[in-house]
Amino acid sequence: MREGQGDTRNRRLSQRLLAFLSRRPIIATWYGAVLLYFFLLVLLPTLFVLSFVFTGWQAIQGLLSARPEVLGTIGSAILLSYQTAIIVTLVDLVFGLPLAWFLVRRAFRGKSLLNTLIDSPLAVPTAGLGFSVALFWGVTPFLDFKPFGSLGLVSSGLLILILLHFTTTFPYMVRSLSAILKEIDIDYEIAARASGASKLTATRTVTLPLFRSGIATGATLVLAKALSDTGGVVTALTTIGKFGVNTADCRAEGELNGTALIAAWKTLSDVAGCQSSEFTAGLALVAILMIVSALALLVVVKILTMRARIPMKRIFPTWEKRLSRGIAPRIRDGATFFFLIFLVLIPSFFLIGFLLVGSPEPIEWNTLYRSIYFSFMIAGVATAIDLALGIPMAIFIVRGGMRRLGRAMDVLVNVPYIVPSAALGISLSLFFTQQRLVPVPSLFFIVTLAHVAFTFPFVVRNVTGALEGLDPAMEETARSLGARPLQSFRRVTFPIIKASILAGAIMAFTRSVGETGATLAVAGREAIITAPVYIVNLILEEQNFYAAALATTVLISVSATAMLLMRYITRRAR
Amino acid sequence: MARLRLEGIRKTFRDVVALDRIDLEVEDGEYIVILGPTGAGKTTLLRIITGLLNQDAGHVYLDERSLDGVPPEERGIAYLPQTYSLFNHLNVWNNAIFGPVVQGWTPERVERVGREMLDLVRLFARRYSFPRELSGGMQQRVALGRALAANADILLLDEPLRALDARLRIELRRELKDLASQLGITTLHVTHDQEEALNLADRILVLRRGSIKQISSPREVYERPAEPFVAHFVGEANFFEGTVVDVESDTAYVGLRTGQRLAASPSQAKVGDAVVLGVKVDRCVISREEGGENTFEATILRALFAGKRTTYEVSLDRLGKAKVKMPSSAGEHLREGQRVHFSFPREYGLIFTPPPEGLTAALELE
Repeated sequence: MREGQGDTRNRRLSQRLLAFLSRRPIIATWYGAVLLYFFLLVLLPTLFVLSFVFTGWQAIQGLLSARPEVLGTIGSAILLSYQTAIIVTLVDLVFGLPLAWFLVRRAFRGKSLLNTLIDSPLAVPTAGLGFSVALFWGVTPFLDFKPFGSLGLVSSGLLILILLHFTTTFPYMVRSLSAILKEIDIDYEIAARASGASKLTATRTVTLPLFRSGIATGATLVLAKALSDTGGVVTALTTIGKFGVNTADCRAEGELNGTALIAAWKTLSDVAGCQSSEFTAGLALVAILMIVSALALLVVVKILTMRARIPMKRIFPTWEKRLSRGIAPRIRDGATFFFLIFLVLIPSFFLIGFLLVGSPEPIEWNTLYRSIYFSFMIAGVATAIDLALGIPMAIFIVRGGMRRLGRAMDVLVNVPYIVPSAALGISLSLFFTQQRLVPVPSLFFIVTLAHVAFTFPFVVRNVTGALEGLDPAMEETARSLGARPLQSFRRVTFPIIKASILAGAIMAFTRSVGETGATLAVAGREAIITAPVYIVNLILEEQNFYAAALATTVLISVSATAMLLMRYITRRAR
Repeated sequence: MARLRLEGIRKTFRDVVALDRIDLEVEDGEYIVILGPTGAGKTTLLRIITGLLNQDAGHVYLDERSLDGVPPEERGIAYLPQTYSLFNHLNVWNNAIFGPVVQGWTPERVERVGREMLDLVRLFARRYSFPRELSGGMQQRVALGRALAANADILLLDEPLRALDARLRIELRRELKDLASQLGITTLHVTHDQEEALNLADRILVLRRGSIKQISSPREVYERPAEPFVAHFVGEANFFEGTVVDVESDTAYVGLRTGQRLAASPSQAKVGDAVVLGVKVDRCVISREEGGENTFEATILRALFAGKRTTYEVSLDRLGKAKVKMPSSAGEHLREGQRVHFSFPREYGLIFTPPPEGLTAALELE
């Protein structure tokens, strides 16, 4: 009897609590807090470095007059970044389209295996990828022996970076293209073919135009990733002998791109004999240029894919028909799979082979474990914050009822993702050393905030996507049956979008675990050693390639477990 | 006791007026069908009553309690949307008890009501099935059971039978009516299907372009339509424009521009008034023999056979097209292209004031 009364009381209490929490002012406050956090601790710090143009103009001028060659260094580094990113995007698109097609439109055995294979390079932290790719393709001056199967062909920085970014970006391209392709109704194509169009004509004139948003998404992801990566770039360039930090002269040497330059200068700024104020100005200048140009490039991409008029109306029946049959499609499929196997998969995992044949060298297991622990701590905390903020943010964007602001947030949320993470790191640490608003307990805190900034978009993107696909009538019906907004979210919306939330969380988590650039830019190479930073250190300082390979392999297995877990859980949730 | 009152409801989207001057009083236990073509504002009206949408002006009262600003979950109005919105991740039982659970009822009461409602819609045996495993008709019944279990005072149904095939639709129509009267729940049911409306309603509200055209019993809407639009939308009608030439106690005479004189049932119209004379297509007759009053010479253009009844499209000499719907048995000898006599009895001729926007515009559906 007593228990029953307690039950009733609890139920009443929870009803009252729900009623209270669902009141409009409370919900508005909640949204407000999320927006405030986003603007103050994500967007503002990300773009803070831009203010350096005004506040630090003298420092920049001083640097340029003292060392006029700096401008040339920065210019060629940024040029290298963009050359790489643009070439990689185009090539990814050429091979990504047929592969996405193949995955979506054909039924075959082992489809899920192929899917897993395509995603598998994502499990390798880019610091490891850079090393692995350079080992496979590159000339390796510091290695006294060549592992079996390594080609030893490439000594150019540009080429090795392009080869590297095939492995880091191809999965993103294929994923975004196939996601859109799944949405496009095949009936259009069938109708076109039934009216006499050849396969190629039908695809080009009917499906491709419907496909623009997929191409835009894919290109954006690939460009951002290629511009942003630091760990892979540093290890790849080091392995082929094109990255060096000369602490005696306080100079960065080699063929550096934008992020590598940031990593090198950040290291030098911590060296006792070098003038750190000069490097602060230099770093800010690189960061500013990279952020501005990245944002500009993405606007251009958006406009190009949405506005460009591919010659849709002209039809070339004879040769398009010829290309649709016989040997041409086979060549296309063959080339695609060649690309996937020899330019993406084998280079990605080549370092495991090195582990088998290389001569074992000592590794400090304690440091490795500590670094993995740090990585997972940071990734865990960052993902938790991502979820706490990202889900309400997504709800605000899709269902907030403030159209303009919602749409603006939809765009703004992507900014920290698009901005190269090394530049973001520079901006963030500049912000936290200059601001007086938020107390900064430790460097760990800033690193974690940096990770929140660039992983946050993954959660928001995934959840907004799921919410947009959800019929609002579901929640409305729940409301009319007596559910408070919170109840309708918990009992109706959440179970349906659970899988997408999880996918976003795991993407955020793995991205955080594998990230190097922002961590380096905030904390340098010594203060907070996450696993990828440790791998970079092993290669850069100790030239302990064996230990680097081993550390990478350990990280791969941990990330792979996480990815398999995601696949398993998302499938079960479906 | 649940009486619903709408007072001067107005709603605009940007500069499009979706609803204007909507006044309605619904008695306790009454079954109201809101009938109108697509885009008339039917769903908008339901959403305003549930509180999912805010009106620009006007008030909603439930038993004299104003619902302005009251969120949907506190209104006690269960809404069944067109797509049913069954929660696919929950089984039939958990769908049915959704309302009771979120409203925090005691477990015993949840259990009892869930069982009662699923028994009522005859799905208790399927309580562990998931919505996707059920047929369209069963899904519809689950959704209905779920809405009823929420203990709402008012039930709002948005085209509840739309997704079902024709035969099932007719079957469920009867069931719906029985359920509602058994529970005595006040119901508003939206549809664009006139037959459904005539079958189910205690009263029909005809909505067009956001305003009420008529509220009355099905028979009255059918036989005494308030406007040409209603006459045409519910059961189709032929129209003749003319002038009143003579009024007697039981007949009004209308002169057409062709010089013909038609007899119709009397109205307020006075001699000299311009009027529109309407007559339902199933009150018209065509025959090869000379007819009685209100006869026109005509040619059969097309015959559309539909089982029990056949619809004829005819061309009236010097007047244009008209339609006739007759029992197929009565027209066995009629062929397309034949010359016939078209006529209708005077008591079915309805006199309307001419619509200000013109007759054609007044009949448009969109």
